[in-house]
Formats: sequence, C-alpha cells, structure tokens
Amino acid sequence: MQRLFIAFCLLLLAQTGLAAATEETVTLASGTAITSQRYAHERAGVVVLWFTGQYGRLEEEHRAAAQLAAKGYEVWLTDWLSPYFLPQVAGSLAQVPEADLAEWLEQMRQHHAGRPLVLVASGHATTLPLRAAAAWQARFEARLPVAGAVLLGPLLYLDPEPGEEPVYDPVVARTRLDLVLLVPMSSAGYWWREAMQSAFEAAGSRVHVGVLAGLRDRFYHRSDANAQEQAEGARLGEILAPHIASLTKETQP
Amino acid sequence: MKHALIWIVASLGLALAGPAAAQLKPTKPRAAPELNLPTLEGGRVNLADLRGRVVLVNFWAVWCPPCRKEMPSMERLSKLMAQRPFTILASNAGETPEQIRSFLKEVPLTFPILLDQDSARMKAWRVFVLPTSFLVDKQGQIRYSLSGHIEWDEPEAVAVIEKLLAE
Repeated sequence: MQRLFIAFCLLLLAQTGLAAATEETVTLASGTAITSQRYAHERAGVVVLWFTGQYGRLEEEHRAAAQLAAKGYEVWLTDWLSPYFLPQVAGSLAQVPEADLAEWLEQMRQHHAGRPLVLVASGHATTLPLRAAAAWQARFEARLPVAGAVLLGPLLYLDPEPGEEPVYDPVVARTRLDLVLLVPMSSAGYWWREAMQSAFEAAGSRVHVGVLAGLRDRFYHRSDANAQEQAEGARLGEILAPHIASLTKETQP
Repeated sequence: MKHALIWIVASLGLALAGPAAAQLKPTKPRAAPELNLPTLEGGRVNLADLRGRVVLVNFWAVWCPPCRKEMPSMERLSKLMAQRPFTILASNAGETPEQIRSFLKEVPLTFPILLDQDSARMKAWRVFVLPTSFLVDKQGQIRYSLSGHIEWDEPEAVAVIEKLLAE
C-alpha cells in the first residue's frame, strides 16, 4: 500500500514537473526505523523537517514538499505513526516516544551539519516537532539545533471543555523556539491565536502569528474544500516558503 | 508482521467507527457570562432579559460544516417548543451579515442570530471549537454544555430540555 502511494506521488509529481522524492531511513537506538521521503535541491541550504500527522501520507503535503524543493529547500517528510504501528488518530501522536524524536533530530543535525533546520507540522501533529525540540534540548543541554518551527493551524489544546480555561499540551510550556503560527481565519483557533501566542511567549519562545484569510483548518486536505481552499492548497509550499525563510533570516535559501 | 496486522485492523476499526458522538454534558451550575448582542434582523438580545426561560446558546459559523448540519434540527426544536418558555440564541463567530444571509437562503431559521463580530462573547464563554452549545436554566445558570453537533430534536436532547423546563 505504501509503495503504491509513493508510486502514485511520483507519477503525480512527474506530471507537474516537480522534484521526486527519495526514501531515507534512519534507524534509532530503540531499533525503530524512521522512514522519510526526501525532496532534495542540489544547492539547498535550509533543511525542512516536516512531521506528518494522523492523516498519514497526504498527496497535498508531498506536493508542497516538492514545491519547497523547487524553491531551493531540502525537505524530509516523515510519518511518525506507522513506525510504531499506531492507529491514525490524533490520540496516537502522544504515544510517539520522545526519546526517539530527540534522537532522530540529533541524527538530522549531524547529517546536515552546519545547515539550518526548520521544523514544520500542522494541526494536532504540531506537538511532534515541539516535543522533538524540547526533548533534544533536555537531553543534549545545548543550543537547539533548529532555526525554528512553522506550525500550520496548531491544535495544541488538551480536550478543551466548553466554558473552562484552556489547557495546552504541556509541550507548549517546554518550548523555547522561534515560531511562526499560521492560523486559518475561518477556524475557532483564529479567535484564540493571541492566547496561544501568549502561552508560547510566556515559556520563552519568540512568536510571529500569520493569518490565512478565507481558509479553514486543514484547508489543503478537506473533502468539502471550496474553490479558494483548493487553489491555496495547491500552492501550500509557496505559502510556507516565506515563513520558513523568515526563520532562517534569509530571503533566498 | 503481527504488529502490522494489529495496526491495520485497529486503523480500519477506527476509520469505520468514526469520531465519538457528541453529547450534552451536565456541568457544575455557574452563572452564564454576559451575552448582549445585536441581531441579524437589527434588534438586540440580552440573555439577562430571558430569566424564567430555558435558553439554548449556540456558538456557530457558516464556514463550519457541523454547525450547518445541526441548524435544521435546532429550527425543528424551536418549532417543537414554540409554546414553551424556551429560546434559542445562535451567536455567530465574526462573519458578515451577508455571509449569514447567504446561508439562511439555504437553511431558513426563525430563531435569533446574534452578531458577535469580534467574537468577544465567544471568548468570554470559553468556546474553543465550533459548534459549542450551552443550556442555560431559568435562573441564568449554565447547566449543560456540548462541543460538537447533535440532532437537537431527538428524544435525548428534548428530555434534557424538558427536565430544565420542569424545574
């Protein structure tokens, strides 16, 4: 099934003229093999580590990774649920071992020595890069190896109860990163973006909030996507690129 | 291989089961926050003026598919309870009157639509997902809450409202 999907993506990308992915596997001390789809650019400086979520491998995310590669980024798109045979639901994300996330990040740092790393995730999966960075920092007690993270429509509440104060994922209070929060305007999160920004800033992160006008959560992967969402979803890589660049203080990667 | 099989079966099971159904949850009674907003029709509604009535306060938006899905059942509930001390207030999260009117052409609604244009009330009521609903009793106390959508005219929901009406 996985090979069929990859073949489908390759076919799709071939038709669009975008770069194709190669498969890269990193084996961790726990014995877990983490497989990524790598979209490369021969002169890439910045490396984008994209953590996928409970929807598995999405065609739209692969297309965005290829778009970023075409703009000069190297992108590693990584599924963190299937290596642990976790069901594809949001609740599984908390079960990804933090030690493995930190070790994988360290291996990425070593593999790409001296190159800026930028973390990317969306929705509930935004917990993964944050946990990876926080665990890396706790384990190696050194300067974080990443330039920052772009969080697309971050969903970082712990089962919010109507009428109660929000409780954020504990990783928010452990995060010290430069962050870009991209918040779709047609989402409940839009109205709480400043509260989330404050929660991150209180923990020591520097936060920029960007608003995606006219879009809903998961706009690039919705069965009911409207014309605007389809159009914007088709250029997801182009939407992300300037925010990735802002974290690396570069206009050109 | 065994792990892979378990994973496939679990994922398939979860996919078929779908998300857990939303349901009204009893809450520790507490005073409802202020809700005093202009309506789509040009008037103004203040929840505080509705003491003695059971009020369903619903936070919604046109862009939200589950919000749109439950609206027809709210309209049916409104008609079912027409002769009772019961009111529905649907507080829209920051959309324009034009956007709302466009939706009402598809789904005509007779209960008041409140315009929470900066979503200040949504924040005051601590609403994090849409739709979110609250049942407020005759004394202005929040008694039940719900994140997600339900069919409001089904017996379970009507029974909860009847219980509050009987108090």
